[in-house]
Amino acid sequence: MTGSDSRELGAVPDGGRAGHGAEPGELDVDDASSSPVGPLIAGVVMIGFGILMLTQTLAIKGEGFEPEGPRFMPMLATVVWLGLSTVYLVQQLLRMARSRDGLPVQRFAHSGRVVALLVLLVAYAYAIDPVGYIISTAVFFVSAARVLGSGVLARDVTVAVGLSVGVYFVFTRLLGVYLPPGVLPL
Amino acid sequence: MNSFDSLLGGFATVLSPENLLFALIGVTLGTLVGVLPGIGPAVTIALLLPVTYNFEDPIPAIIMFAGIYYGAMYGGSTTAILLNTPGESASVATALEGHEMARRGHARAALATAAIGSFVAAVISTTLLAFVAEPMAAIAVTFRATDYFALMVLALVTVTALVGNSLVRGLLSLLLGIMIGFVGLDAVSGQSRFTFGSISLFNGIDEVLLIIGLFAIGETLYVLVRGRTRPGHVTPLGPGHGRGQFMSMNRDQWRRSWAPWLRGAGVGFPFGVLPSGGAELPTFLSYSYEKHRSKGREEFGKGAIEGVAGPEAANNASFSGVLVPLLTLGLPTSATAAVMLVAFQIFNIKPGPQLLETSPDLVWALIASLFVGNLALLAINLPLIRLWVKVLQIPRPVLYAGILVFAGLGIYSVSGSVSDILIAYGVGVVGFLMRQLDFPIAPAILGAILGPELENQFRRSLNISNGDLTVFVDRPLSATILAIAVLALVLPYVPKIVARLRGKPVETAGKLAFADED
Amino acid sequence: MNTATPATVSIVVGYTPTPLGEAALAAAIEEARRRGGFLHVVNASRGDAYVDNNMADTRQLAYLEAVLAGSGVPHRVVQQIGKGEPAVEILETADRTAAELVVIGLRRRTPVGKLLMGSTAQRVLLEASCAVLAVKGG
Repeated sequence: MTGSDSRELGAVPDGGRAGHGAEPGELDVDDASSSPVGPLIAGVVMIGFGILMLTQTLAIKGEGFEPEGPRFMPMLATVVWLGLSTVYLVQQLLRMARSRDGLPVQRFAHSGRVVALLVLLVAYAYAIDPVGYIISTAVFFVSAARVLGSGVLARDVTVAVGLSVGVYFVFTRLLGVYLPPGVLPL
Repeated sequence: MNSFDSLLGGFATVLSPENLLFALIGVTLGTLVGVLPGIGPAVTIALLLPVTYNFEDPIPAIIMFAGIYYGAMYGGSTTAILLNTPGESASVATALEGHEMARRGHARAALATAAIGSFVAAVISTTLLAFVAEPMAAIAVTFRATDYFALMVLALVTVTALVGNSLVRGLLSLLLGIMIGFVGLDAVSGQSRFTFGSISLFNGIDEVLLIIGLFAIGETLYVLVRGRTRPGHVTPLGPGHGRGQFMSMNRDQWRRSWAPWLRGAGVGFPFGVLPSGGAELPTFLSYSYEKHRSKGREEFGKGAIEGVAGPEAANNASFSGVLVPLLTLGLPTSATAAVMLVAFQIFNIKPGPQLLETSPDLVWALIASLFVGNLALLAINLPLIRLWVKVLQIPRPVLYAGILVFAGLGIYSVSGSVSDILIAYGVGVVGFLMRQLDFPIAPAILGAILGPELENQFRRSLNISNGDLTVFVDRPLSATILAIAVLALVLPYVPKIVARLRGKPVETAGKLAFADED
Repeated sequence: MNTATPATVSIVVGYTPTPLGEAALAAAIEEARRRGGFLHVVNASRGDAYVDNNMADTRQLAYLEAVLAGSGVPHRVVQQIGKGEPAVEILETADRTAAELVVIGLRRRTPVGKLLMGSTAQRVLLEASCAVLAVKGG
């Protein structure tokens, strides 16, 4: 989250340095981008997924595609999916041909952070059991907040410890849901 | 025992300290998540499911979930009016007029007409629910497999066609959900389907994982990508108790509000009962109607109180309406209702025509809790408005890191296996990409939850008819419902078609469209 | 500091559209008049919440501009959103303009509140390389 917006207002009689550290256009990025690449890739991926599901449908044991059988509905869904994915891709190509505007799509900014957050999530999934709920959750919270753009470490640590300890005891002691204690002697 | 006596019994259940506490927790949580944009009742209920796993009695859990559902409506209107950011999609109409009222210094009146209107509509529609439930269940008993099939098709089609901007994207989302629903062992033939040979997929993908992935993780990644945004400003509430005012509204505002409340309730309840994709359609219809009816039409868009009163009433009334098919047919007609259905299933309760016979305590306690919860909301919404708005000041990194912690908790308590957690993450990435590419989420959820049941009823119908597909059109009821489903697919394009017939440029007509989710 | 010529004296004030911010602004205007300085008004927001009452909106900026114009003090208003900590923004402006004085509002806070929300005032007080005038408010 590096977006920022700076405004300079008011009388500036000294002609001093104007605008400082401004990265205009980074805020309020919810305007639809006109890049057609995202939807194009999506269309191709969806068709590929449809073909994959088609092979999976054919892999279902059974004979023929009688409506009562286990293959009929998956087949129907897969075929319609393939048809609609093609329509989506063609729509996208037509729009590209007609104008430079693509289908509505959000800008893929901060992709590095998305990857970082996914890595954190996976690490968290593997850490819960061996390390224990409280420690893994507290560490995960602080690092996730960082990735999400927080700059106040003391606050994050306080909330992380309070939240993980609170959740652990409420769920294990009051609600009877098991959470791994891990390395802590609880 | 008639409905009235049963309802009194329901009140007796709800007014026990424990159930009352859960009703209050529900409406409070609901208000909080309703105030926050991007976090809806569906995901909140999904995240709270693990809390209730070890409850012996389902009643407090269901009361709490219902409280979250309509609490979110009260909260959503608050954000719509004071921040001009609809907390949830059914508040879009409220944001149009309510925020203008607030800007003109009538914030309290706008909030009051929304809250009181919601309450009035809730009382009317819940009363209707109480008296419709039993007759409806009696009719539902006569429904056959073909009717159920047709109803499910209708529910899926309406959510897909009436919500969101594009039919193609909506249908793709729906089909994705249906395909996910097919994952696992087929209940009839025992064959594994869409499992890619992996044993961990034999039991299918748990609905809770799916909902948490699509809504909580997908939304967090989406917020991350959008980055920092210019913070809004909560419009000042203005002076408190003025002269000649009762509950923050003056005589004129009361006079202009009461009829839209009643009309909104009148629109909201039937549209909730009929599969129509949730609360968006009735709120928008109510708004359009009030606008066309209003003598001071020019005031619309500049803060007409009717434009807040009507849609808010319709919004709340539609919830009681949605409960009718959910309880008597087991048919969810919105994403949140689908999550409620999952909650019922966790307690091994199967909503349907028999529910009133098998679990009358639960049904009547739920209905009674709607009265109690809405009264509580009326009491806490306006006086604590400053507190609710404070939630909006929580920094997003902290908020969404917290949501991820609860998402992890929900996923972990469903299974505890790392592979299931990774599946939920995968679903989350799909949900994120769907948001990025403007695919609606609600059809996928509904498709995944209704898909297997739809196939079930389809095969049952064909077993009875010995494989004859005309069975779906032979029965007038099924045929009619299927015809309505086809109509619902076409309806959004009517303005375009009419425009083309009249020789007008098509671009100006556009498609009837409503916002997505919940 | 006392040798700076009046025309180049820079005064930085951390402004928020709150009574505390107004008090700080009033004190800063007073100081700018007395010292004949140039007033840099900084309004910064982290931009990471849906609502930030410390960020001035268009109407409040217009009001701020009117107050400053009425005071007759040469000034510049800088609004910085989503770049980082407000304290950093104030300190950077002070460094860049070689400010003689930084004016901030200071309010009593519970230790928990300070921990959770961070303290812009504390950071400015500790890290500023020039004199800091802390205006006390409610």
